[in-house]
Amino acid sequence: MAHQDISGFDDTRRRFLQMAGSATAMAGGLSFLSACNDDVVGAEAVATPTPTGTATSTVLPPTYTATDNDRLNFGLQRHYLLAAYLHRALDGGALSASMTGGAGAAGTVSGGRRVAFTDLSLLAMMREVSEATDARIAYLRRTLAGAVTAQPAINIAGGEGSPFQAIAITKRGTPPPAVNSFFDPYASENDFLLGAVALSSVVTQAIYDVTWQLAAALRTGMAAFAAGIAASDAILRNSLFVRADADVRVPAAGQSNLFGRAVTMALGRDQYDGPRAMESDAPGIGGFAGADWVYSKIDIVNYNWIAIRRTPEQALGILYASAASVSSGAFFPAGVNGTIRVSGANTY
Amino acid sequence: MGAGLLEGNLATWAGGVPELASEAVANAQWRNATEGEKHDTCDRNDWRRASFERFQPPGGADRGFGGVLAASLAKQASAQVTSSPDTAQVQFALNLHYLLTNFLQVMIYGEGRQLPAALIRGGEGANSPGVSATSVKQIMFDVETRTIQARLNEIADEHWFRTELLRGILRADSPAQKLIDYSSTSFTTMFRLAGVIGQTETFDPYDSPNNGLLAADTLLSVQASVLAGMLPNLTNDVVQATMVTMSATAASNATAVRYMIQQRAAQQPDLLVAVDKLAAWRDRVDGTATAERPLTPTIGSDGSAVTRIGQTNADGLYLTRTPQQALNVLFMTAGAVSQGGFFPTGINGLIGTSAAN
Repeated sequence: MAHQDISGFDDTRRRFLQMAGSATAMAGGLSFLSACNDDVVGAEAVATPTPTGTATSTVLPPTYTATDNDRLNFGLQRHYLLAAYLHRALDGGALSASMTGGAGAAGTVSGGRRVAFTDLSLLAMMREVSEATDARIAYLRRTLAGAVTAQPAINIAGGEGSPFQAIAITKRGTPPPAVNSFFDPYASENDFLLGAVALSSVVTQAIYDVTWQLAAALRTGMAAFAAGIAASDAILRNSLFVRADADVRVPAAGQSNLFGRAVTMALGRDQYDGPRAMESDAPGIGGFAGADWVYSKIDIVNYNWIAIRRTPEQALGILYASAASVSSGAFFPAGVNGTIRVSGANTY
Repeated sequence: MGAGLLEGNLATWAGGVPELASEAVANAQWRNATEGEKHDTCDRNDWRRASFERFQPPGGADRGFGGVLAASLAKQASAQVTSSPDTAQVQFALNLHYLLTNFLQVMIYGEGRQLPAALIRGGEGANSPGVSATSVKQIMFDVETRTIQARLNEIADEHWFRTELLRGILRADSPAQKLIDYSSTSFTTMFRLAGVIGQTETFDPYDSPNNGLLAADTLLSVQASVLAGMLPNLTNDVVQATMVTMSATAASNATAVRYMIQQRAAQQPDLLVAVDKLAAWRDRVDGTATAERPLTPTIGSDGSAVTRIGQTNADGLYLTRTPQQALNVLFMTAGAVSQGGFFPTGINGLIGTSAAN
């Protein structure tokens, strides 16, 4: 089949159409896509979702001019969240008070509980990630010195109505089966890894986006910082992948295996960051293939096969669990501290 | 998304035909290249090309990503500035990707998957051919090592496309690939220097998945450390943004391989010792003192084990090296030379001499 030029901006759909081997397959695919109201803004005739809510105009985030300290503080605020999650899950505690002070409204961590780890090698790896995350917080705080911002109020609860639940399911399409009606990342090692991968991906991708904009004096350290969080993120994603490989190949009726749940989680993130399906090219952590084999998706990459970046406004959309521009919500019930604090107008 | 997608099971997806299933099946098909069911190379390359062409908007390749970069660098080219600081750095990154892509592709998929002439030549014309990599061998993976194979497949594929991306940035400034010695002799030299094996023993990286992982680790960790230190030397905004994420992906690749070695060490603990000795040797020849991080886990004061999979320091920052320090490792010498080790005739590009340590 000659490659079709599908006008429009949706890469996922274009990719599918190009991958479809024949006109027949293409026609079938289009009819499927028309029916599913997926996360696609394309030129093809796709049924328009019925608008929900009462918003009549799009609220845009206020413009701002970020300084390097603003960018570093943006990274710090997100690291507070990741550290809070890892500490609570690993030891039931939180980041020490000496590492949370600074400008802005200080808050505490609510929700979450210690995860019952039985896999000691996994636990040893998670300790590495937690310690590296703490080390990077200390590095950021040392670099920011007098300009450091405080840890804000953080909600890392799981379960019905929780922040994790908000980013774990997608409101569009088929509702999740009843058995998965809520997501509690503290329920098991696997659930913990799903939650860790979710937070880590948002944190890392946002850091990549601000790093190259920094002044020369900060670049040496912060480029190594960005690669450092990529390494920690890789440990989390490799762990989830290995666990998923060990999970059931064919889930019971109405349930998902770990590969499937990772896909759902990725789509849950994608609903808040704008029309581009950033993780949806092949969402999740991999999958089973053939009778005995498996394929991996350790890295979330773009079409140049390098890691994607999320702008601060896209990242905040996910962490506030809002596609509309807001200044607080979900994981940060009182918002974050610092100049970069309002999520983008990511509705579509 | 349809219910089928939520199942996360390819068998289910194939029936429902969501867009992702089609791709996943395609991925699975060409990632399953076992000895008995190797897939046609041309098919795969066509797929790759299709993927790359997705970038080209209507109107032609010149408006693709490489074109954007070329346009942003055009001012320098027209002024005959032949030594943009970015050019030297990106050329070195390309040389590293030559080294890794050939190795990983052939190791996973077999002979014929090394970079073709069009992706190793100097510049964009045919008058400066590169030297094809011929000394890599395929490694056989069994079902027991399927999670290893899957992740090495992914890393090998990423490298192929990153090679294309780097050439798209450099265009006419792409250095031609020179002779690369991937033979067991080359790796044996390094492993003897590092004390992993005795002076009369040999190391064959293609003998087993475990050996392949050790070999991949030595190369990937060098690449990741160079890319992690590259940003301060870049000046073009587009190149900066690109290389930050390429660095992140390279760090993820290197970390994944160390993760796999950590896993395999459960059955073969001396793998950790080997990695630690290789890391210590790199520290000795590259002049960075004790920057390398051993892989063997530490035991905390409370008796709990903590792994050291990520090559990060006490601040959580990734290990960095200059290109010259990387050449010390790849040329296998602490001195300032312009060839040796994996590159018997050196490398092309503006950076080609190792540091004097």
